[in-house]
Amino acid sequence: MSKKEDTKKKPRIGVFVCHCGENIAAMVDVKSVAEYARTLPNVEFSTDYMFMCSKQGIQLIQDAVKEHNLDRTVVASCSHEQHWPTFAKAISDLGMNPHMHTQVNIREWDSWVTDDREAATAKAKRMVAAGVARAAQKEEVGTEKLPITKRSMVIGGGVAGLRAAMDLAELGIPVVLVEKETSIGGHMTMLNKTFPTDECPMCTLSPLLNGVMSHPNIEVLTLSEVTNLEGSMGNFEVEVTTKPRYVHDNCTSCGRCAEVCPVEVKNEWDHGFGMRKAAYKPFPQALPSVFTIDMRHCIDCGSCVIACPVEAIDFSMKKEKRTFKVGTIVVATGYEEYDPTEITAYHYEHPDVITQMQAERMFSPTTLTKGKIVRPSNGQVPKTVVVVQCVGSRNDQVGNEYCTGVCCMYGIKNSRFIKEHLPDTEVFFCYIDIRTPGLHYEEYYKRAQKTGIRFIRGRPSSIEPDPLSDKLIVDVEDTLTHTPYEIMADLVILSAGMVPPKGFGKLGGKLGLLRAKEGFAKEYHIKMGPVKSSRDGIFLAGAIQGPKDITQSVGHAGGAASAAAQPLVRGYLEKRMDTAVIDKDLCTSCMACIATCPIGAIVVGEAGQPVVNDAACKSCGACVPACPTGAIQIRNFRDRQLNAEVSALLSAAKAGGSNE
Amino acid sequence: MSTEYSFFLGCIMPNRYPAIESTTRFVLDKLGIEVKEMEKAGCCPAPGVFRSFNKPDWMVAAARNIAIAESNGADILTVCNGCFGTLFEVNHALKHDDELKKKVNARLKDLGYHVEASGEVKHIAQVLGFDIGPTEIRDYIKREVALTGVIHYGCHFLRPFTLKQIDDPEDPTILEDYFIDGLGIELLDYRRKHACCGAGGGVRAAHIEASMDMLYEKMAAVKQVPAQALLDICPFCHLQFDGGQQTLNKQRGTDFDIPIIHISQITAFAMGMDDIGMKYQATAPDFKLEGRPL
Amino acid sequence: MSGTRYKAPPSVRTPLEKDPEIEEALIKAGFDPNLCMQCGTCTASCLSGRWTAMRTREIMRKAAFGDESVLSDPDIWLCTTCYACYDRCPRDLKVTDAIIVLRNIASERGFIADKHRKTVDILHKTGHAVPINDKIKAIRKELGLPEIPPTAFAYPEEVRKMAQMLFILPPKHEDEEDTQ
Repeated sequence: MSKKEDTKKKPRIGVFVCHCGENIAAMVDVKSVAEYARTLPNVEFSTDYMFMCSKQGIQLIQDAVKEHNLDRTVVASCSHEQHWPTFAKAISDLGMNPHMHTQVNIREWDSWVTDDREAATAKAKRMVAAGVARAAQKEEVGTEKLPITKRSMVIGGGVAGLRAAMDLAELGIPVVLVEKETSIGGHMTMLNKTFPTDECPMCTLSPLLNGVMSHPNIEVLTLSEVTNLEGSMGNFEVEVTTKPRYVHDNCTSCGRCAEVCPVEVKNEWDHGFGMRKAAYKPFPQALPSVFTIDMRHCIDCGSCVIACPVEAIDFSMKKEKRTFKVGTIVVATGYEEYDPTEITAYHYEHPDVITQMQAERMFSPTTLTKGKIVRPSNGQVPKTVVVVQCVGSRNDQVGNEYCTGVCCMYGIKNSRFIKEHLPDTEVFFCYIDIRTPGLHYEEYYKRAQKTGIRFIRGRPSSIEPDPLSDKLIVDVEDTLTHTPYEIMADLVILSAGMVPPKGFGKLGGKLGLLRAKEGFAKEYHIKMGPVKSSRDGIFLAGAIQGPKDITQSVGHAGGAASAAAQPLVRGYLEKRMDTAVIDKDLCTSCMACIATCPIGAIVVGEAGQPVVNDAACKSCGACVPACPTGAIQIRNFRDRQLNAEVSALLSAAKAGGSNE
Repeated sequence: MSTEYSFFLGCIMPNRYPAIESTTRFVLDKLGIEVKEMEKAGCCPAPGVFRSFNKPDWMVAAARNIAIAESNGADILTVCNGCFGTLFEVNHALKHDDELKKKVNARLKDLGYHVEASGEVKHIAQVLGFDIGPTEIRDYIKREVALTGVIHYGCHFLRPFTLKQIDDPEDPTILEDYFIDGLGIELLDYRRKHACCGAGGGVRAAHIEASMDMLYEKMAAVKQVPAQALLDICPFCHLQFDGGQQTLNKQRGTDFDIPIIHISQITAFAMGMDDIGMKYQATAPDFKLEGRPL
Repeated sequence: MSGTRYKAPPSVRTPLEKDPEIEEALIKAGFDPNLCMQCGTCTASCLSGRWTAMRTREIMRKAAFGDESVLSDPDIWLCTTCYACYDRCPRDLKVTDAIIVLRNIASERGFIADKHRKTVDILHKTGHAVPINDKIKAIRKELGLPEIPPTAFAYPEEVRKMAQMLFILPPKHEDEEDTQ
């Protein structure tokens, strides 16, 4: 705690009313609020100014503090979250305790939410009166440095997770990478080409994959999921559950097990376009380069055990739980392709109606089709292909209002791929709007146009199997010529949007993350905090925050890694101590506070009394009413402080200026 | 399932295809469902024409019919997609909007009625296809129908889906299940099976050319399959198909001759009724259905 | 030059001249035409549009710009209300309801086809859109049904009461050309 001060001394308060340009001043008579403030008890100075947060505004506050010998400041402007730190720093630069600053929000809570200027001005006055009363009661609170665990965890081993893990590791931070599949790499390893360069995704990704696998600072856990989280930023305890692979790490990836395995099933990795054995590796370059026994399909014949030259196969392996202490967490669980089944007019159940991810696999040389473009129903080369954009995106009916933003590019990419391999095949690209923002993207679109793809500005209303032939009837209006087209198609490719991965509801709950209504993890601030989650110490990388292409995911992941590294590199947490505090004399150790605390920030101490973990406490105040003796209080939110604030608010309302 | 219904006749069934009425009554009787007559009921009124002229008036007239059923104390049964569409929509609107109900009742008062919208509105295809269902209907039929047919759902039975929520209008199975598993009929798919017959929306009344164009597309697709008969669930579609084929033949030189059979007619036949009134229809009056022992 | 005002050529529209009633009524009916992204799903769904000049998407576009010509355009009467567009609209807009609203406004202003007016006359006379005739009466008798169904038709007083209150159509609009 910082220096003790004579609390009996009469406070000297300065009130500063901000116009925020027109944001506040248009609706609140700021001059009259400042004048009113001067009439309030303990106020020695008050004024208004266009932008309090500007350099000049801050100078104005600092000058006033010096000139009028103020010991507390009240700024009536925007939210505590936005500018309390600005003004607290302004006075702390003068040697004052930052907590001597009080923020009154007359913007979000007043001017922005009404169009009644008179009522808004009256409300601003009441709020300032309450703020002044609160300021008079405020106590000095210190900041403490708390120890931190210098290790990070990355959840999700797709391109975003890999990038984040690598960036953290390169900063010298030990990283645990948790991946739920048998191998790392995610969706990118399934792609045939990447836009806008048409590079081979595996070639591009390989260095990162290998780099992560061999980095001394990275521990990779596959077949693993986070099953519990405790603690708080700086000192999380994460429980990770690892499913058995039934193959030990001494596997040399020789593939004899798969050769002898009699069970053949569809390879999930290939989205219906490839098969695998029950003893398998999902794709040749999969890392870790270890086979897996799929127990769901294994018939327990034992052939693989006999065939394995290094005795790596072990059916006695069990599910394992491990707990890791980490300082920060990066969530990079990616996305899932939208399942078009629910748009029944598109008849996705038909074998010749496929998604773009399926097309990627079909076009890849390693699958059943060996990279040939065919109709899945009969293996023949399609003469007419229809690509349908915005499937499950921009669609209020299925609850996805957003534009995925990636599909225009991958739809164009695959249309061109078809046109280049099958020049005689007609490709119709049906879109609502083409969205190719960014350098090289429009150019890519233009190059595709040259190949003779027929771009139709219209969204197909239905895709119906023709009962008289093996074709699909696609109805679409060319909205530019008002022509309804009826296309007899051999193959239809649906550009399905990106949606949050299925299990994310559960994981998000365990991690305590807020989610946007679309189901993606909600970022802290759409502009200024896109890699921060709603929970301190947990960061977001890639498509889990919202649809992104690879370029964007990698950039986002780099930002997340940097943010997750900051406290770990610094080596300690700075914690403002306006947290819960227990008066030992009043505490009866009934433990009601422990039961109430939603984040487990209060624990039983060595003496059997409850103790607040200052690092974890979020100052929510849930414990305060639970305490039967009033022993637990939040610093600067103590009963007497809140009472003073509320009383001032009520008497200001009674005194007039009120419409209630 | 209800054991009694207020039987809403509408216009086309009693006044153009009375055989659909008599077969419906026969079927309901066999099923042990009591029919309550809706004395003084009028036009539903037709959702295409009258709703287009004046939706508030259309609501009042429909509410009057619903009020008549309510005085019977039994839910409404319709055999027509148009009547079903109107009465279902208005009943639903009144159920969920008290303000609207007040307004409608204020006007209904002058006609001497009051509506509560406390009951349900059902379609005969729903009662046969779902409430009884393809398995249980076999307890009531005396023979299977030896027929290779096609079906036409019509629009207002399933659409708008958000309102009706009976079956997926893009890929429904309720009638297929009923006709195939229940009555033993063989069904064929045809192009644009779920497209409109072209009669609705007042198009048949005022734009007969366009209406016949749409019908032509439909009948040509049916003929391509080829089917012995077309099964429907709506007297207005029935009128369009039955009378429309003759109009097309006369005006455009086509040779359409596909018998049109309503779900009540074919069910009555399966239940043992031999004369289902095909002879009164404009197209294929000589058509005889064949039975097959169970 | 005094007294000479700039006038756009007939094929050019001034988008500032809009009929405010159209947008207002559509929004009230659950179809905000401003939300339409012109994807054409409605037109592609439209059976009528396969055979006629009706383009649902264009009707919605014109409506969004308050273009009153949409009201006198017979195309709005070519919709069979099959609801395929309504069920498929990715913006979940109530397309068919919107067409009904446009027809309601058109009717109010007297744009109603003569044949449609006849339907209303029949309803006013009989309580039904399709009335009974002697031939059907005979068939009904043969089928063991009452010759005249117990509907409104059998209660002329009831039909008269309804006719006085419902579907009173405005006179024909001076621009309405009935080509039927």
